[in-house]
Amino acid sequence: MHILLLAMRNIARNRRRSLVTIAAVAAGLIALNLFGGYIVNTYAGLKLQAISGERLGHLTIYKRGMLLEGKLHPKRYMFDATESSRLSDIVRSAGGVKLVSPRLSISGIAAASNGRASSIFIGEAMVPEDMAILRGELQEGAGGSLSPGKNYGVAVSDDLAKLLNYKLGDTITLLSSTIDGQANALDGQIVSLFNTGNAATNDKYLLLPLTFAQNLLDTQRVERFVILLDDAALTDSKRTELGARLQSAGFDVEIKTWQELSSFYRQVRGLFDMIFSFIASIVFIIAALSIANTISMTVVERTREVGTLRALGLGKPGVVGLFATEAGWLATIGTFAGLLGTVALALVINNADLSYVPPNSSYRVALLVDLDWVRISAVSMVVIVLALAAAILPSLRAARRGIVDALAHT
Amino acid sequence: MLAELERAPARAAVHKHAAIDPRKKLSLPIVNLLGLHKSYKQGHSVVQALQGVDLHIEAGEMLAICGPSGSGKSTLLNIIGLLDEPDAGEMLIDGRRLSELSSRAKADLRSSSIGFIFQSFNLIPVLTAIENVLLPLRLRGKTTSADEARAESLLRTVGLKDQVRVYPDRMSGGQRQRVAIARALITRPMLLIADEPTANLDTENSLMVMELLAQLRSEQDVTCVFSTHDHRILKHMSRIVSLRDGRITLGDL
Repeated sequence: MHILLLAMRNIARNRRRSLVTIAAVAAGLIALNLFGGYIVNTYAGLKLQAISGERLGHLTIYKRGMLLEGKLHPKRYMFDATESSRLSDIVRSAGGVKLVSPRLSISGIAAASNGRASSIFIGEAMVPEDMAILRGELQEGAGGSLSPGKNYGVAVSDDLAKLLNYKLGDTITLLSSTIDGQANALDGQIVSLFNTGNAATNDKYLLLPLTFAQNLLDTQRVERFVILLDDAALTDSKRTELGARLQSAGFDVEIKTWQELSSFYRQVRGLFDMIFSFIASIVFIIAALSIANTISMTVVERTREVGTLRALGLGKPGVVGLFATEAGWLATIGTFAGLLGTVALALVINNADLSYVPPNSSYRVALLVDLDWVRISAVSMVVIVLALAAAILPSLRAARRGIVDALAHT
Repeated sequence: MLAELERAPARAAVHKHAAIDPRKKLSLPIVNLLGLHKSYKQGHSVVQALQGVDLHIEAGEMLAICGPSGSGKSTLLNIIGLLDEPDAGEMLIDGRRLSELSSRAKADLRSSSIGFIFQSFNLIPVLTAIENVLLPLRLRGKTTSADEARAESLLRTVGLKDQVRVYPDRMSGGQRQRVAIARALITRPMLLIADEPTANLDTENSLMVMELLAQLRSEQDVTCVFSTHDHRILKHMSRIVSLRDGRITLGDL
């Protein structure tokens, strides 16, 4: 009779209690795994949104000081045409780079074609051809798109379009200050209407071709370069490599990753990670207490049996090992049941076509669960280890009891 | 005569029912108890369970320790079975001083040389009859096919050849006690301790169990020490010791 089999038979002795314990462990794990799966899906969506939707790419290269003083002295911190060309060549020569995309930020006033209404805008200018590469797997229509070849084609956010009564194909007049502070205005044509996904920007955001923005600002300079890598996992190492290459070429730059630039991603991730840790703590406590309670009751009920085993030659470590094995079985079966339940419920949720409007969002997103097996394995291991730890105290109590005392227990 | 016996150590008793094989080293005591004292707390009071017990148990004996409830029978048996320790006095088992043995050595000696039969059978309910019998060996390590054959043989000997794979809850009290007897003998112990083995059995089963034990005692070359106040089983004993208030009052009945 192997101790594993003996422990399993002991678990089966009080089926109802064991089932309640297993169910508690399984239910806790299902909740935790599904929530973990949901946040993994959310992180993936936010990552895609940040890299492709917010057009942040993987890395962004600024002249050092641009982020602090760029608004005050734009000319000083922008790359001129020669620098832009050299920098692009250096970055592309590093390898593993899919796209080097020059950018300009711009703001001003957008006016309706009849001139009767106007509203402030903030915009981002980029090469239209870059957008198709940057969008990657982003779904059609999300984040707006520019039309290659249309140098004055502008993508306008939904609420701004509503505000100024724009339709696709309409002319849009953009007024802004040139880089030297002169007023300037240019007409463009609306080629796309899009939802920014953020209620705070959906009534003022637009995208425009880089040449259009440069003409409006009356400059050939660009503000920054967005780098899209072949492999997102190399983001940090590429940052280091590119920083070194550019420094040796005489550029004084700072390079930011997409995580650093997407404050929304950081905030959501921080919040979800905290909630996950909180829920995980509760689940772990419930699992540990359930198992400790079961083992404690078992120890009391089987005191005389422990005395018999001790009298027949089982040592104190053997007693602890027996009850710890029973706790391990309860946790393992609970974990396995939790895994089955997680997979089943994840399938149901992913096929139920559920959606919701996230806070501060202007459109619905699908509620999906991505099973993160690394996280699930880690959580399962923690539950099993906690179960073993929870069994130690009652097991030690049983082991320490005198044989005669245990045998006399009624 | 009775008064004289009361004053004398139990060793002085004459073996009235000395149906013991002379080859079994009758003259060599395997257990010597000298001036044993044992007390324990019961609530706020202290109970003197044993008060200077002297007893010599010789190889091959079938010794009964009789006495009313609370006389110290179980305490004495627990000490002889190395389940408990005296507060004072000395005990020698198989020539070794108890006070000189480590707790590990005592546990090893107990599991290898002493078999136990409990009043309530104390079988493990999740184990079949043969698994219960093999348990003492399995607690010491892996069992061999020879061990399993011996366990089956013991179960056959105690009349349970058809209950080898049956769980205790499917057995009668008599059958359970017979499984417990087979379990006690599987390690080929030199000493068999039985604490009121017939207390939970009816007359028929009590007699059957005692006849079986008497038969096995001679077949298996084992010394048996019983505690009992069941007079039905005393006829099987080679010696009877009476205990009252923690003292031996009568060495031979």
